Amino acid sequence: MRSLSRRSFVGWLSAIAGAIGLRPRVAESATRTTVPGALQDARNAALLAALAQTVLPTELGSDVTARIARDFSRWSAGHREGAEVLHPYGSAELSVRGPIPSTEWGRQLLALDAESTRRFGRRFSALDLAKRDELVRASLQGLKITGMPAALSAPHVALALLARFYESPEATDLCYRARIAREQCRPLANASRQPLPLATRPGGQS
Amino acid sequence: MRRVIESDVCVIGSGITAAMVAEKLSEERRVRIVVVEAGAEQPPPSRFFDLRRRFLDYGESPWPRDHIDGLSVEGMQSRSMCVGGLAMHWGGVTPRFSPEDFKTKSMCGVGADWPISYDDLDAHYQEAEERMGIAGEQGPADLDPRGKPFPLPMIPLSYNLAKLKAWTDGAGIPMWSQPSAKLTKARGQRSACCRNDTCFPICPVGAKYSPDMTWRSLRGQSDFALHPMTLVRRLRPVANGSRIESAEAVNRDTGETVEYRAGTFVVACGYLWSAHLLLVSGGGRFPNGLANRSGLVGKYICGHRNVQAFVELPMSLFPGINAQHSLVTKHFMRAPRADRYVRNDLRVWESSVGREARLAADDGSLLLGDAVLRDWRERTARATARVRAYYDVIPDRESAVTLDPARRNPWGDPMPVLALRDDPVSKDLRGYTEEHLRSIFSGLARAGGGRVMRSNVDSFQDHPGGGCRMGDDPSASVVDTHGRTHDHENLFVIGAPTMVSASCANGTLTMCALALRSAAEVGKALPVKR
Repeated sequence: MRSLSRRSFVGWLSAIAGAIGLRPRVAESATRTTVPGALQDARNAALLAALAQTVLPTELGSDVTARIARDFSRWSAGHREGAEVLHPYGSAELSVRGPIPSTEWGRQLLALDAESTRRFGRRFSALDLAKRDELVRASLQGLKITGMPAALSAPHVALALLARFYESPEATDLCYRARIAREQCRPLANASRQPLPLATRPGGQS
Repeated sequence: MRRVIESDVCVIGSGITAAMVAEKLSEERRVRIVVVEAGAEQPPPSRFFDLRRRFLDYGESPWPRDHIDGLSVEGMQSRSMCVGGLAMHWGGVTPRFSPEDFKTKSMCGVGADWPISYDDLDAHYQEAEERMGIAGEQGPADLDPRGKPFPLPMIPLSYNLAKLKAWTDGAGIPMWSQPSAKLTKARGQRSACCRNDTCFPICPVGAKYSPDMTWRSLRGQSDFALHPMTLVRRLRPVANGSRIESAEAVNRDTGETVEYRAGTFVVACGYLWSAHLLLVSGGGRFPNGLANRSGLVGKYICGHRNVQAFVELPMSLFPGINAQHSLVTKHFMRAPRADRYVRNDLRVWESSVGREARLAADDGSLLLGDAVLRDWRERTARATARVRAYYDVIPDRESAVTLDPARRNPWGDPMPVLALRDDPVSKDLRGYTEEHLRSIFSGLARAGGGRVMRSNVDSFQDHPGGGCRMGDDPSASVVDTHGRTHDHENLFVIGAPTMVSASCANGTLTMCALALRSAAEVGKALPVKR
């Protein structure tokens, strides 16, 4: 979860600039291009939903998990390479967004499916969660994973999906089991109250 | 081709201090005002929600055209040069300076006294607070004096800040709600704050004051004009005498030369570009630059550094309730007489540092699925507070803006060089000061049964000012206490450049108060509006 003060945000931005796909602005008139949304390929939608079921918490429930997968796909399509990033406070440097590895993410999904067929004789989405988990872990082997990567530059689609979810206000609310609703318009007067607990859906899911 | 534009007052720059001056003059005087801004127009409020969404989703700048290519200076605070200036994306934090800030020399034997006191500025502070709509809570009157109450009720302490205040109270440090230029009640076209959490870099509802609000209002008036994309390259004095006759500018869109003639010129270009304009305008009878009889144009650039720490506390918080708001104290703004000089403005925020979701457990094993959430919840059983203290840096005379003989801007004018330097006293105190601040943080942590997780020093000097220091003595200062240059009766420099020192609190409100004091003086030569 991002710390929201100006200074900490800018510090965060500067520290990870290299890691999350920022690049120095070499041409002042950098063009904006929309990266083709490899994840929007219809073949990938079911795979992405299956991956989301595998790596996201089961507490979310299947409907919410499916919606998060769809949102992730839309989000990756909305990235604009070349868009200017907020220039760091206290620095004269400018930078723009680099490419998003969404094409690679699409390939990784297809590779998971291919590996599933090869090893288990079934599509990835048809496997039980334990086997999917096994395949995902295998596909992440060799990657140096510590905290939470930046979603925009995550080296694997599973990590990008996780990062995108866990940086969301929705994830924060789930973690704290409370309706904090950060980054959303909320009455100022309510700030002094402890956030309400999340409503529990029938079946026990929040 | 050359175009001539005449006005009573020509304001150079369109940032927050320019907005204060233009608004006050246009309300109180019969005056034709032209504001000349080198940068571009910024997006209208109708786009703010979309721009904010792009920022949240992709980290994109909501203000992508807020700078000018080719005007980058090593060490500068910000590239922002646009209609509205840097305050288009300020945090809206508006503490006043403390009375002690104006007399550090006489009270503590350090730095220099200002030629004005806190009391001289109190009414101007109040006016700035009224104009922007400052929400605040007065601290203990001996630490936080003020002539009148804040215009708006304070931003209420969030559930998190109330718990953190109980902690700091227990440590014997009185803290209160940080004053902010964020409405706690709707006002005109502006909504009340609704905790969108993106005050910096963009408030989508207009709760946070930004100068574009003032410009939108003034632009409807026939005696007001704002010319964006127009870079003032030089101020020209009359052939015989010291008055300023015109400002020579270039329209960056068309390349056209524009000559602004006015009765009064107000330089409102911030600490760096104000001094630069005076220096680059030198020549003829003023070989060292305008207003520079003292040789002090560009000198005594001031600011403050900070030490920050993250403290783990045995309490439950809900990070994100109102994350940009903080507690503040002026408890440490008064240096103890018998001790070494050290002052700071301690602040406390809620924080999620150290409590983010992660994908690797302590043993390095990969976390997926339910394990991520389980791990995250375990680590949020305790809380993190961010504590930070600005401390004032006494500026050296050679903490300066000078002209770069080797580098020119796209229009062929020398670029500035910025070199910030501590006064020897400040340099000597630095290690002691930073250690002292860490000891305050450690004591706070202990008082709450917690621990300091980590701390860091930001070597960058924030909220810079100076470069056209104010004073009563023309041989030791650039402007008088109203911002009027000693050398040119119709040339004012306003806001940040005139500051003698930068305190250990955010400077924007003080810069605005100083600008309003200047506006009152500028207005004296103009007919009163009936």
